[in-house]
Formats: sequence, structure tokens, C-alpha cells
Amino acid sequence: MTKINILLVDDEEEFITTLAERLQLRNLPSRYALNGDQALQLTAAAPPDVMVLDLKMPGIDGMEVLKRVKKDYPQVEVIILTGHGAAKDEDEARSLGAFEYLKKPVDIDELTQHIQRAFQHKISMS
Amino acid sequence: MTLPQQTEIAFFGRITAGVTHELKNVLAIINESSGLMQDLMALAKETPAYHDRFQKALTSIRGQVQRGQNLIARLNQFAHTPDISVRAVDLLEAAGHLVALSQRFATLKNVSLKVVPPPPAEQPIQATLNLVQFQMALFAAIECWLSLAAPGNELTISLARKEHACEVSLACEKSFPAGDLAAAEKWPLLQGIAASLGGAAEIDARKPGILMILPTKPPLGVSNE
Repeated sequence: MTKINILLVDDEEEFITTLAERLQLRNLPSRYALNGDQALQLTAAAPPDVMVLDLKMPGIDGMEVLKRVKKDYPQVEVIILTGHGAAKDEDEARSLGAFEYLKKPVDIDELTQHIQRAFQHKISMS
Repeated sequence: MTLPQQTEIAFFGRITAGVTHELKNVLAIINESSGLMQDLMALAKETPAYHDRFQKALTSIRGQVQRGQNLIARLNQFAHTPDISVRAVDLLEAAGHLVALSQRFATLKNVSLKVVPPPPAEQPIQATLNLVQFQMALFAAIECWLSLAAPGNELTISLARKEHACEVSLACEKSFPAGDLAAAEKWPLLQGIAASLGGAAEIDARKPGILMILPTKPPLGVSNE
């Protein structure tokens, strides 16, 4: 199976490291960033296939990261995973090109399926 | 509602909305940590001691995370209630959120609350009004009913669309001393809020219960803010 390059972005370190560990157990290794700046740096160094991105973060927030990533690296598929459930944010994220909009807490199998679907979508578009 | 009151309510709403976001993160960490424990137990080559008991406890944690998630989602929506003063409101949805958040008050009195939606052809039931005041009126009506309801009783809240008005009916399944409602502590509050919405609240002796009639458009002098 082709390895998916995954980048997880969330300022809650305990959440993101545990999520990374669970994905690893499902043969989905990932990198992670704890803020928007780190996410953009890691993306510039090696654009991921799929980014799982929180919206509310200190500094550059998730919506801005989404905007910049889709502008500079349109092939990167972005899944929003947030505790912020406002409908207008979902509309904005989708209009900016988010592949999916999920709310925390999410079922790991559901997230895994969305990551794989996002990857398949990226391959089909390239 | 006066400007200082609006400012105070907006303050409470903003703080509560922020905290609900943090609580979602708390639940997300509990969810992932308990999920990781389940993953590791599933991978263990030998059945760990207390395996069944751990599985039961982890299942319970996941169930409570789901319960907390539902409550927080409703609380978050409630916290955003004062964001806009007067707006088009889906009254059925608003009543559903308020009743879900009010269940604890009913449980303490051993009674139950439910919202019965009208047939799909009669939905949505919309009105342009102050959502905070609508929810305050509905909660005051629920409190009036709770103050008189006997244990085991059930309150059914239903909504209907009429010409230029919406009816909100709070009716009981069992016998209820509707005649005593006017003496309930929150009755004057209910009357006052219903009036400020341009409507009225009255005793409905037939069902028995409370009937609120609210205009679908705000009274003159109340504008969108």
C-alpha cells in the first residue's frame, strides 16, 4: 500500500500526539505541528498528501493556514478537525477548498477513512 | 431589553462559547487516550488481567464522551444565542435545544419533557424575534409547569404555525392543576417576556397546560440589531 504523507496540526499537544500514535498503530505514520507557523514550515519542507487541521490556534489560525496551503500547494488535501462547530466556519472552510469538515471528538476509524478518501482524491486529481 | 442587559447577556454568551470550545478539546483528549488504551489491549498477545472489566470501563468512557459532546454542542449553540438580537428563528430547533438543556431540572422532579414536532409539511415554524427572549419565555413556562407537576407527569411541547403568529403549546399527559398556574412564581415573568415579544401566554385548561401565542414578526419599535 502506498504510504500517505500525513501532517496533523493542533495546538493541543496531548491530543495530537495520542492521535498520531493511534494512526501509527493503523499503519498511518504522521508528522505533527503545534501551531500554524510550524504547519506552514513543515508543508514548505515537504508538502503532505493530507493535512488534518484544527481551526482555533494561537498565532496563525487554521483558516489562514488552509487559505495559504490551498493557494501555494493546491494538491494538498486538508481535513478540518475542530471543536468549533459554527456553520459559517464550515461554509468558509469548504469554500476555501477543505476536503472534509469534522468535529471533535472524532471516531478514529471515521478519521482514518476520511484520510484515505482524501488521499485517493488527491491521486485521482493528479 | 435594555442595552446594559444585552451587554451582560452577550458577555455570558461569549465566555460560555469559549469554554465550550475548551471542553470539546478536553473530551477529544479523553476520547483519544481511552481509544489508545483499547487499541493497545486489542494488540496484546495475551489476554491482560481484568480485560473484560477494562473493556467495560472504556466503553463507559466512550459513552460518556458522546453524552458530553451532545451537551456541549447544545450549550455552545445556546451560548451563541445573544450574538444577534432580533433574527429569523427556527422555533422548533430553538425549543429542542432549550428542552435538551432543561432536562436536568425535570429529572430532579421526576417528570419528563419532550418536544413533539409538527408534520414535515407544517415545518419550518419560523418567527423573527429575539431568540434570548423566546428561550427565556419558554423556560419560564417550563418552570411554571415544573412547580406544579406531580412526579411521573410528562410535559409535551408542540408548535404550530398560524396566520401571522406561532402557537407554542405546553400540555400534560396526566391531570394537572392548570388553574393554579396564575399563582406560580414565574407566571408574571412569563407574562412579561411574552408581552415584550408582542405576544401573550395564557392558561390552556383543556389540554391542560400553557399556550403561548407569538407574532411571526417583531412588534413595532423592535428592529434587527
